[in-house]
Amino acid sequence: MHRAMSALFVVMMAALLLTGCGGTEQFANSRGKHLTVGVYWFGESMDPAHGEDGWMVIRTGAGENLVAVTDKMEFTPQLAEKWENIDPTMWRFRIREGVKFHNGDDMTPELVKASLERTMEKVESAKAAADIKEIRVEGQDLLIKTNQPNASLVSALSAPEFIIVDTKDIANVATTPVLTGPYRVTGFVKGTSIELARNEQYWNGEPALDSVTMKNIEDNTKRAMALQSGELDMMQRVESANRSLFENSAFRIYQTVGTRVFMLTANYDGILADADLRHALARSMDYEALAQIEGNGAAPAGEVFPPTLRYGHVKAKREKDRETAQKFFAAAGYTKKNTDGIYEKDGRPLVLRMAVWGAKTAMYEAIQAQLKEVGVKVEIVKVKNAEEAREAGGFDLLEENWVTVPTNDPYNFVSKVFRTGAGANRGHYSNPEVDAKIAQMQTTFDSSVRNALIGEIAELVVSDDSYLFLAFPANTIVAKAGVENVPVFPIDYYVMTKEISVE
Amino acid sequence: MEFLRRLTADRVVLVCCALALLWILLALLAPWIAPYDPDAVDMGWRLQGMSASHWMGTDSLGRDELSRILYGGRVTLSIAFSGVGMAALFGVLVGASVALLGGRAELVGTAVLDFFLAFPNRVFLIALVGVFGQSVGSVILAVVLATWSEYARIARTLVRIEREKGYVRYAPFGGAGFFRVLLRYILPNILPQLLLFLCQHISEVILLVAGLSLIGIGIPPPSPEWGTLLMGAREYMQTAPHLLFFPGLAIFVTVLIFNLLGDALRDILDPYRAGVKKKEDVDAPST
Repeated sequence: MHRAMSALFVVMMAALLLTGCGGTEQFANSRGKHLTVGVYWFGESMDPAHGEDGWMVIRTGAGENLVAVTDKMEFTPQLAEKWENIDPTMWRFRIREGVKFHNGDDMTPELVKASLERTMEKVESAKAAADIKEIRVEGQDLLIKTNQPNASLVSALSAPEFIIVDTKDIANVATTPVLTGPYRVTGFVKGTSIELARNEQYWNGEPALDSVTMKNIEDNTKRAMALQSGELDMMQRVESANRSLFENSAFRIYQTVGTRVFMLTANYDGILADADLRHALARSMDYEALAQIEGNGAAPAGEVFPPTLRYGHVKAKREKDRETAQKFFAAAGYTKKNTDGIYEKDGRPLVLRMAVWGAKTAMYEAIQAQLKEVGVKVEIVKVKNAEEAREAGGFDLLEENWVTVPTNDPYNFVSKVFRTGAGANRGHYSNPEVDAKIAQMQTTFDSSVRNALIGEIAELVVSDDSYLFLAFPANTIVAKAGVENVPVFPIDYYVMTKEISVE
Repeated sequence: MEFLRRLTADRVVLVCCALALLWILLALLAPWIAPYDPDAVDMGWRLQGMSASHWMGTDSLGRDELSRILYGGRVTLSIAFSGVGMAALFGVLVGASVALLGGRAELVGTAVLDFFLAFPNRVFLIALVGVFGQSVGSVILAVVLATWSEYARIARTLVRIEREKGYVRYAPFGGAGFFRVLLRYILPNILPQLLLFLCQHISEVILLVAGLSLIGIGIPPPSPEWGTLLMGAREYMQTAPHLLFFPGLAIFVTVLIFNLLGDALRDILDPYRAGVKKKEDVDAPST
């Protein structure tokens, strides 16, 4: 009797177990191949031409541009088959045939033109970057005329703002825009989630997944926990603090040094107008240690452009060299008289105000500790963002975190940050030579000449030490072991591709 | 004094006092007993667990956690004590004066007090720190401004009871001036109750200050204030939990000690407590 009961129990358990299995299988079948992705930022809407919302639209894999950028940082045709520069202000783009929008409409050159014009009308910065005078349709081609010779046009058109959207079906663009990518948006809940389904008519082969959910989890720790708990299958960005949680066979970490540079801007309106003092600071930093604190495969900087780029590198990067630094401190008139080891000049200690707005607390403390070692006292001041640092009591050093090649073209970055009087030149840096080379870049179409110019600009900026370029953070994606074909791009607005699949 | 006699007769109070003193001493003596410089960065020793050389492990910059917590105690406790001390001094003086003056002065004073009491003190504190900026001084000032009215309210209530008693009513006939009555006659009589409130308030202020640092507007790094330590360790909840555990423990123990002390004080001040005094004695008219 007893044995019979046991046997019954075993059979029941087995049945339960099988039902359980069946249940999950059924669930998997009903949703097909599904992937849930956690990201650290959502836009306010899904309209590519609303603020910076286009970044997220590209990340979902729903939106595409005329031109895209590969993981090797090269331009690649997407919705344009090819393009050429006819004369300095005239370009010809051949629009790809056979592409359908998510609603089934054909993507005609006229609709592409309308989409580009819509973006220029709505996004001032995109309009300025493209500098387009007029667009004409000629058969399957678009003829684009610019106001000035603009060597950055291709790059500008690859920006998320210029995602091609069906302007005939624009009513729900803020939630379910009609686009061309491998996945189409089926639902958008602001700040929470985006639902996507496979685009059955995709022009470039069949997307591997049936559906995708993207979730917005801004807190790094929470996002990591969501991946651990199985709520997510894949996530963007893991902090170095949580990295070890995923260094096992259940997960895979994909990483590449990105296009960002983490840097401190020196304020020329304060004591850092003194070049010797800046030279001393640049040689006081321990770049290796800072990259280690950033973690996750970040690279030490000491120059403007990350190693991901083929161009723009200086002959000698700034490195820790405290002996030379001491000489520069002396040249700037600083001496150590007190026992506290802090440099002083005219009886006043060398104290720098470092304005920060991010959450890299360990990084700030490390910078502070490193400069204290050489004899500079750093006061950390928290500000809301970089733009407001000047109003909030000023700064000597300002935390900045720039994408150096936002659309595979450094022109935008150098002209916005290094040019005299430019909008984001927050330290009021000015070097006429740099300005001249930036101006020259705008009208230089030959890529080798352009690359040489970028290198010269970088060389000048580094030798001025107008910025402390500290580290190049890496882009990371962590996925469960069953997620396949996960690419990781240096440009961090590419995430979902048609290849990503699940077992 | 009766109060002191009861105080020293009570074991629990003595133990709590001893613990509080020990805790304060540990913080005061940090430069001598801390094994390492709390700011010394050592990248080769990042995120170490507990070991013989680092009892509480090391943080993300390789700094010794034990040393940081000891030094942090100085910051946290000095903010709590000076904040509470100044708030109490100011609040009691204002509250007691208002009650003793009576009449129109009391009416106006009470209105001002009610105005300050109407602010929720946490929100008020956050707003004040936002205005003053992030530093030890401004946090103390904010604590004083946000909490003095509590003391004033209590002092006012206590003095209103005392002022009707004979020893106060007839004091002016003996030639005692306003301040003499306030400081020499009344204050010693309401001090025990105030002390009780003070003890409980210290715990609250420690939690308030840690809370400020935790949301990133309290004491800026690299100060090892306990709340700041907690904030800097949030990301390490899973990979290096000791960085959250020890500062949390330090805050917990401090709050516990002062709460127990407060409770013990309340017990000995309770006039109905068995064996201390008979109910009739307490209720007997004092005039």
